[in-house]
This record gives sequence, structure tokens and C-alpha cells, in this order.
Amino acid sequence: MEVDREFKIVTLGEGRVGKTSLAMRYVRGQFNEKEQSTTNANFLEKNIRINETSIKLNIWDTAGQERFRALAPNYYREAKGALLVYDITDKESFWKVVSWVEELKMQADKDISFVIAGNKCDLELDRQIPKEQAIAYAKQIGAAHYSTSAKSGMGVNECFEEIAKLILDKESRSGSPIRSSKARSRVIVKNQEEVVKKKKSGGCC
Amino acid sequence: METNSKIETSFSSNSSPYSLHTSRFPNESEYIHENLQITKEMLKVLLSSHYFIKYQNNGHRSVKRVFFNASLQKLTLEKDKMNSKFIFTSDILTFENGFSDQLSSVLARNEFSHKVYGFKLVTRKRILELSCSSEEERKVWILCANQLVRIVGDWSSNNGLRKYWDTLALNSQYQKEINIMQTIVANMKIEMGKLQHEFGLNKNGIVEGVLSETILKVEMNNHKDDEMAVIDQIKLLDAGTIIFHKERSVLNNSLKRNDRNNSNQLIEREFYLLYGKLLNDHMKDVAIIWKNILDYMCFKDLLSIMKINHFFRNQVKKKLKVKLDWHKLASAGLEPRVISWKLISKYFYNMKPIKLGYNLHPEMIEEIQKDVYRGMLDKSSEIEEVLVALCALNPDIGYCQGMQIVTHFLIGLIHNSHEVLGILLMLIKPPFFLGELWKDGFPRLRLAIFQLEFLLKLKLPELLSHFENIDINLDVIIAPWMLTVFTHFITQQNAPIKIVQSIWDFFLIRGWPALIMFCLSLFHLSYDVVIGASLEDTLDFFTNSIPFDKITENLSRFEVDISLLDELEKLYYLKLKQ
Repeated sequence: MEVDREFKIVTLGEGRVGKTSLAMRYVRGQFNEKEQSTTNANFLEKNIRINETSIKLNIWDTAGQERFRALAPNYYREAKGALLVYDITDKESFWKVVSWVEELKMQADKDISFVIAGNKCDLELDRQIPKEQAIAYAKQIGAAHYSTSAKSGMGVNECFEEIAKLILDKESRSGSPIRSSKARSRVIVKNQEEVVKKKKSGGCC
Repeated sequence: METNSKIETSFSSNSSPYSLHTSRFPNESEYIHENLQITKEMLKVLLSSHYFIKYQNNGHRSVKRVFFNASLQKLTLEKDKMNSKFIFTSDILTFENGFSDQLSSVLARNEFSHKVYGFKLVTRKRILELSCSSEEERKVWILCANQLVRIVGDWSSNNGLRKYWDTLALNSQYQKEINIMQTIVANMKIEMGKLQHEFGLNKNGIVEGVLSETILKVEMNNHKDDEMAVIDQIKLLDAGTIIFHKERSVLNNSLKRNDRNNSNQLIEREFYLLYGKLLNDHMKDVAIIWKNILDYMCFKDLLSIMKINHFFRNQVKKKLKVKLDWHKLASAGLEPRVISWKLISKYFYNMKPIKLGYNLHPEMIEEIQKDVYRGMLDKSSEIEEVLVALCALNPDIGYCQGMQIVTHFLIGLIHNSHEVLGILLMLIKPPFFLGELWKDGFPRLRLAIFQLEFLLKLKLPELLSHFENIDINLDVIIAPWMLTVFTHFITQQNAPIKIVQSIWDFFLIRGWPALIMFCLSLFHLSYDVVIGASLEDTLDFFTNSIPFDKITENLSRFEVDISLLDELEKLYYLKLKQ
């Protein structure tokens, strides 16, 4: 199949919010209640078509545990889109999204597009994060917000496709199609101390 | 027949005179199956206190509390709290029924009328005479203690490894290991074959012949030089090389009688032909020749050559220099893993009572629980218990995802959370470095990437440039391997547990370099598939289609020098400083 565009997308968020489940549901249509924790990252690929443009999404599904954050720059560098996932039943996980946005704005590609996904919407009764608050935050940073459930499949396709659309939009606005560059530059993995320092000074949590 | 009887005793130990047929203890047939194992019941007997009467030569008596310490390392004889002595288990030769004649007569003279059940504790230095109050107690004690002594003896004896393979052969569940071993030997033969071809030699089994020759030489040291013995020895040897052995043994035997130097020269000449390029003319001593040959052998070949006799064991031991390594090697060769892994991880030597049930930050406990209960289908509470204790005892390491998979794997084998915790506490230290691997910032993982990048550049440069072309970092691939010490192969890729266990055998013996070697071996396996493949196909190989049965096959090609790894480590930290 001819592919017009290739986009690198990264999923970020606290551990156990359902990043792997969302990606697996989207790419393979599967859901595993007993999904193991991700060590480092998984790679998944999906071809889609948006407005006559065929697009290959390279999805890097990262590990959520705090200490894996030191390795995350490997994955979000040169990423055109980021899916920031939180668990609607877990307040902390939303603040983690906020801190990820801060980090990406500082460190990642300037044109990176954000989509925020409030996952585990099948557990609506245990909701801790008011939907309005999340949507308001998304608006503030110029991101789209989706309520998703990897278990039921709700909102999954939409949120990934939205990322692709956002990236396409940005391309057409800037005029020059962004090619997935294959720069050879070695990645400098951030020191853990830096991350910690930033977290402290940011005061986001 | 010396050798014959040696091998026999390794099996006939089952039918020792102390075997019992009581309901509390395994009967003889189970005993054969459990050849080198102490059952739980036996352990109970050994660890609990027994009150025995100790006799002096003159018939004086004193009551002693007798028990083995928790690691079974020593036997304590305690008169009271202030006054106790101990004997190292490895110094004990055996326990025997009955008093010595001398003591019996002394006791008879003293008109000692109580009914006592005496037994002797024979150590390397002396004989202690003890008695207990019932026949049952004596039987049980002697059975259990002797079994322990036998195991300890096997671990440190020259025949240990050979016996181990014999035991394996009895037990078909170890077919896999035997196959692996046979493959190694077969590979070795092919290598030898090449050498023979190179030097224009056609004689089959020339090397085995010489090896066996050395066996004969050593084993016949205690033997009279009679012709019949030699022929009997030969019958024990591999059928394929019998004729050759026979020729050589007889020839050599006669030579030995007349002129020892001649026989040495003969052997030397053959080795010169085989390993001519490795040797120089001045080496007169066969041992020196062998030492040099050992340098060219990989670890696995060393293992196989070690089982020949104590000469090779010693050589291999010297080669590995570190005293502990030898102990590790010997232990690794002995099933069951439940014991050998503990021993290797030094757990046996450092066994302090380790408490479970620690207090930990509730958030961390929750983090652990979430991981354990969402991913692990069984043993969840044990895993949680171990991880909580591990993190509480090592706050600088904390909890790292991947630990739970390793713990699950260990619990599956060892079934005891205290012991698993003990092993993990050892594994986080050098030479295993799991602590450094799991620590915040993954310092050891970064080092591994650095070391592997260098080694790949050296050994598989095309692969490294392929990874660069498709723009992936090594850490994508090796982080899960390292952080779970390959155990995620079981949970995520349905690898056979046996394969991962043999990876662990090797890891426990060699420590850190083993991990590097397995990574290299896996990269080598990927080579044909992934070169030129897309990003997705490349990663798919590593996450879905690793041919597990081949992992150990080409391991010997990736023997890495510890000193090279050390150098790389220094270099890495230097670069880090800059």
C-alpha cells in the first residue's frame, strides 16, 4: 500500500492508566484485562486514511512508571503527536498529564500536537476528574480532549485519528509537509536529576 | 574396579545401611528419585534440637543440645548457652551406628546399665561418641545427617559433576539439559575434526583418546599397574573410541612402567600436532600444554572438560582464578536448582532470618499491588510480600517495573517468599548488579547499552548500522531483556520456562557478563531476519519471533572478556564525567 505520510506518535501518562490497552485496542482491536506493565516501550503500527491521504502511524507506547521517564525523550523526540492519557478515576494521573505537557513544550518538537484522553470511562461511577475541568485544560493548551475506554472501545479510534488530523492541519498551515526525518543525531538521554529538578521547580504536582 | 565402584557408590548410596522404611520418611524408591535432595521432613529433623549424651574416652558423660544451623553449614554441640562447640558440616565424614570397642568396654567396666543407643560422629580429625534415648531417634538422625553429609561431599568432590550428569541421565525430565550438553560435545568434536583435517590427521577420537588417557593416568594412580585393570577401564569408555583407547592405554601403560618421560613426550607430540599453532617447543609439561589449550576454550567447553577428572577441574579452577567461581561452577552443576541457585547467590552463606511484612510508603505499596494484581495470575500475595520487603530494605532502589516478573519467576521455582527475598537481596549486589539496573535513572542499563554498542560494533557492525538506519536505540530492545533478566520471555512471549532457567543458570554463574553475552547471542540470532527489514519487522522479531531454542546454541561465540567489560565500564564513567 502506498503511504503518503508517516507520523510518529507517542503515548504518555502515568503508569496503569491504560496507554498500552488504548494502543492495542486501536491497532489490534484487542483488550486484555490483565495487561502486564510495559517495560520501556512497545511499538505498534497502523495505516489509516484521512481525506484521501493515506497515513502510517508509528505508535510508540511508553512505560508509565516514573523512573522510565528518564528514557522517554528517546521516544518523544521527533514525534509529531502525543497522546496524553489519564485515568478518570485517578486524580494524580491527570496532574501527570499536565507535567508531561510542560515537559513536551520544553523538550519536544515545536510542532507537536497533543490529544488528551480520559481513559477508563467505563468506570464513570468512580470518576474523580470532572470532565469540564479536563476539557477546559485541553482548550487552554490547544489540545483536543476525548473520553475513552479501552475496555468498551469508546473514543479510541477517534482520539488517534484526531492526532493524525491535527498533524495534517499543522502541515497544511505551515505549508511545508513535515517529513519524518531520519536524523542520525545521537540522543542525549536526560539525566534523572534534571527531570527531578524540573519537576520540583515546575510545581505542577 | 576403582572407577566402576566409584560410579556405583554414587547410586548405591540410596541403599545405604541407614535407609528406613518409616512412614515419616521417603522409602527407598523415592529416595533414588530424590537422589541429591533433603526433604522437608529431613530438614526439620536436622534443624530441630536433639539432646544427646556425649561420652569421653574414660566414660565421662555430658548432655549436649545438638542441631544444625539454619544454613546447614555447621553442627552445634551446646552444653549450655556459654559453652558450645561447632563442627563444619564439610568436615564431617559420616555418622555410624554403635560405640567404638574401646568405649563399649569402658562403659561395661563402669557397669553402666542404662539402655542407650550410641553412635559415632566421624570427622576429618576425630571421632565423637554420642548416644540418644531411643532407637527411632537414632535411626532418623543418622539417616538425615548422613544424607546431608553425602550431599555436601558430592558438592565438593572430584566426581561431583560427573555424578550430576549421571543423575540427570536417570531422570528423564532433564533430557533438555542432556541434549544441550550433547550438542556442546558434538560441536567440540566438529571443531576438533577441523583441526585434525588441518593437520592431516584422520584418526577418529584422537582427542578423546588423549583425554581418556589422562583420566586413566590419574585414576590409576592408586592402582596397581595390571593389564586387566586397564582393559576393564577401557570397557567403560565410549564404544566409538574403544580400539583407540585400548591401543593407547596398553602402550602407554607399558611405557609408563619403563619410562615416564617417554609417555609424556608421546602425549606432547600428539598435542603438538593438534594444537601446533598454539604451542611452542619449550613446553615440556603436559599440564602447561593443557593450560594453554584451556585459554582457547569457551566456558561451556570448559564445563564439559571439567567433568573428566580432578586434573581438569583444577586447571579450570585455576583458569577462573577466583576461588568462589569454582564453588559456583560445582554448585551450578548440581540439581536441584532450588538449592544450587540459593548457593550460587551466596544466600546459603548469608542466611540471616529475613523478616517479611515491612512498612513501606502506602503509595509504593499501592504501586506494587497494582502491578502484581493486574498482571500476575498466581502467587500474587507472595510476590507482593517479597517486593514490599525488597523495596523497604533498599529504599535507594525502590520499586521498578520488571521486578515483579523476576519475582514471579523465582517464586515459581522456589515456592518460598523468604528464600526468594534472600536471593533477590544477593542479586541486587555485584556481580549481578540488578540493584544498579533497577535504580532510578537505570545507571547499569545505560552502561549495558554502552558496552553492547561497542561489542556490536566489533562483532556485528552491520546490525548496529541497521539499527541506526531505522532510527532505533538499543534501549528499546534491551531494556525489557535486562530489567526482567529475560523472564518477560515467559510472560509475554510464551518462551519455555526451561530456557529461561538455563539463562539464569548461566547468569548466576557468570553474573553481569552473562547478560551481555545473551544479548549478543540474541542480536546474532536476529541478524539474518532483521538486516534490511523495516522498523516494524525488526521490532517484531524481538518482541514476537525470537527462536528460543537457539539462544544457548551460539553463546560460545560471544564469550566476552571480563576485563574488556571492565575497561568499557571505566571508559563509560570517564565519558560520563566529561
